[in-house]
Amino acid sequence: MSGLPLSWAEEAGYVDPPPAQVGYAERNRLFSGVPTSLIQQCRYYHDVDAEWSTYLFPPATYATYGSRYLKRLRYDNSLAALRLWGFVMSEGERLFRARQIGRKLIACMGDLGGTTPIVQAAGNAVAFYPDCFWWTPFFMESKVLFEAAGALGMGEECCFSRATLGAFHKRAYFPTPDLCVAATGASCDDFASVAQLAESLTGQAVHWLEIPFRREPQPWFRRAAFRRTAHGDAQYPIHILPFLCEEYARVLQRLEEICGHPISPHDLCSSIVGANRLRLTVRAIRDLAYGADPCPLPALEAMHVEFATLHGYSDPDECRRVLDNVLATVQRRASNGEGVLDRDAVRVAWVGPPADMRLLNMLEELGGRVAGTEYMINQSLSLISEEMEPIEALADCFLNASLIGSCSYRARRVVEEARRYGAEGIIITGVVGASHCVAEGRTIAQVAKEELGIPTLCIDVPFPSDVPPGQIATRIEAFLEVLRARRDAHRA
Amino acid sequence: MPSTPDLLNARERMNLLLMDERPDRVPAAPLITSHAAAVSGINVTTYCTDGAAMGKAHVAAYEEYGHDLLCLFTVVAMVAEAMGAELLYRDGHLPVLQRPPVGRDGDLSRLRVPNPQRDGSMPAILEATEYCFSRLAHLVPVGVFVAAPFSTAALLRGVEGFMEDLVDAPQRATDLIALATEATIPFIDAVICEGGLPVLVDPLASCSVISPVMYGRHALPAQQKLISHLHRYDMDVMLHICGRTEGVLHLLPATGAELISIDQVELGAVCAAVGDRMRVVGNVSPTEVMAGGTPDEVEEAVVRCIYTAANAPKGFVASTGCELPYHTPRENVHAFIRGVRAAGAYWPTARRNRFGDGAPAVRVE
Repeated sequence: MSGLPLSWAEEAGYVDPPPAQVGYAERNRLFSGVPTSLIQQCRYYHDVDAEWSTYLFPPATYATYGSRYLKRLRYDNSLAALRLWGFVMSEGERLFRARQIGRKLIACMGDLGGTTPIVQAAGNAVAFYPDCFWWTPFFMESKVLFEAAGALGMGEECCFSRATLGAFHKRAYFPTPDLCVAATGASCDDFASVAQLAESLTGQAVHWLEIPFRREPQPWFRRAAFRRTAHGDAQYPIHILPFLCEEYARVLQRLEEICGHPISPHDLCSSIVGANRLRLTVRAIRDLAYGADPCPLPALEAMHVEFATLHGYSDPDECRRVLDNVLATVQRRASNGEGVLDRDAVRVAWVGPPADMRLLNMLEELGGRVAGTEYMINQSLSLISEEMEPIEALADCFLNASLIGSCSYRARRVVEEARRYGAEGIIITGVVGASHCVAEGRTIAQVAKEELGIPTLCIDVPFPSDVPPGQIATRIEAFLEVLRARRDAHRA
Repeated sequence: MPSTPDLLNARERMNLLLMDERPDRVPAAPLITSHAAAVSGINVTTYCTDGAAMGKAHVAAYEEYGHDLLCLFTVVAMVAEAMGAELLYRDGHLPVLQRPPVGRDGDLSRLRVPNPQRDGSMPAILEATEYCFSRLAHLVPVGVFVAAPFSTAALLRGVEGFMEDLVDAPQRATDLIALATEATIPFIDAVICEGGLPVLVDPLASCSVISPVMYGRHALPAQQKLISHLHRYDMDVMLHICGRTEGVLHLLPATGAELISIDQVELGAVCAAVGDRMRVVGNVSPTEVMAGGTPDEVEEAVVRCIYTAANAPKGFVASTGCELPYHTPRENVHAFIRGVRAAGAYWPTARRNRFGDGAPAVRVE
């Protein structure tokens, strides 16, 4: 035994099977052994104590309610992972319940983690990212939301994020938010367009948040002064910090109006402390999931963990408990030398969140593993200074963002991540219609080759039914063969 | 009556209802079971025995009508058959119970807890579930009707003998119901795993067959046990009881079911009695109106249901009191859906779709 304390589940008489990845049917079968008392314990919005707030259910539950894709995925077999999945999959319902119990719903768009601590400081507001509903067409294996967006005039010239516009229009995937805080400026142009159309066609109340572009220091800049973020390695011109602070202050003011009470610096500090706690837990899980050998947590579950930093899946308090549980499981596995993949799995850094999550399963089935990621959410993985004035600390932290500066900055982040976790290659998943993907792949590949001497594979992720999965599998398989050959040559 | 095209699809509409939200309109869920076979041009025997054919029939029916809930169902004896009851399959007719496996001696040893992948028509139902799930589950919930233990027990013993046992040998009846419950659980687990939403049917627990006292003593506990098991999966459970149920209305919320599908009961009385705790589903007459009426009569009947029940606090689903007969005229089913679309709107017109599914409510200048 590892000496780690008994988990909440073991106290209730449930013991995890030996670590493994399992298919849909086995994941459901394992659920039959979960004591009902544990199901009853896992609840979101704890303060409400409502019958509807349970979420510890198997993939079959969410498939029955329309997520067809779940049948095709492979899952970590731990109870902690089951809980994580249930928490992620129940978010849509959670938003409707939030409205029913009187919480203000604040949609944050395009900044991926920047403004949510401000919203969460309000106490009676729930922050969520409509952006994340770009995964819904994949989960449901359905083009319904794309078609709805298309009927509103947003077609394939926009990336999968257009599904969000369909969701705004239909009002069946999340309730109409009390406010949408939408990023513009140095931000995702597709999501900004979605917010524009949501405002003009569906009447959604939108508060625009202008994101400043982060210039890189250059030798020929004689008069520009730069500073480094408090946590992180980004450098930014000092004048953009007060600009962003002003933008955040406007968001704060608007939120106070909507929530009906002032949000004090103390509230903001508490929210920052909570966000940092979540981020530290995610950091610890990442280090083990991407670094330990054998791999103690599959890439798909690790991705869900990373995205928790955006907004805690609409309930940051419960999210912390879910992730604490994942961390305990991963720590135990690592200290026991146990994992879910072979020890010699080829280590690959993954760049860009794969819209089709099966690709992560595919990599692992073909003998690879994820060793480091860059999912464009660097800003929500960085810690927020607890020494600075809170609005300034939030702005400073956001200036670590992946997509508000140069391609070469992002490439350096990828290289740093690959180096940290010993990646032998890099896979970049692009999104059809996303403008940032076009240029970045080449830049990242070039920097990775120069700095680390490792190869890169770029994949444009199609909608599942558009391209046979075998084509992508063949490319990943060939890439892993190359990496294995390089490893053998290096050893020889 | 003119109707407005829908903004939401059936999946979106039903999901909203199950989250205690008002959808764009009242869901329209006539109980299209073996009538789906008529739509796809196959006979009932093929429908009941060939899973792919059953699945195709329901896909065809959905494409024809665009209703809000698929209703996969063969016969009430489905679980009893898998446990050992013999059914008589006659070409073109629904199978009927030929020989109940439990005799007067109450010997249960001839019964087996079925393997859902092997016994009776369960594999066919599961195959049909998978067929519909893989093709339609993103658009419409795949309901799979499963016989509740009380009805299964009655068919295992033979209805008449079982009724005698309820009075003369209640422990024997209780044991049989317990075994039927045990036998049903693996099947509903398998249905859920295939992506089906189990719907419990308990026709023999109706007040047309047993007294409210017998219902409370024997049928209710078994329903509770099964529904409690379904709640482990977070399923919102629909319970359908055919015939008359006025005498047990006060007991229905205790089943734990979230939706109650009713037959020959006054709809307003049901809403008044349980509408604040359960979603009410019903109840246009399947024979007199749906099979025997004209399209106008169907439309009038369903609109009357909507006027009576659409504002029930927990929500309402327009449906039929029982399954549609095989030969129900298609134009009547269309009239049912048309009537719901015309009269069942919850959302203001401005928020609804004026240009077909997915299109915006905007004016092109």
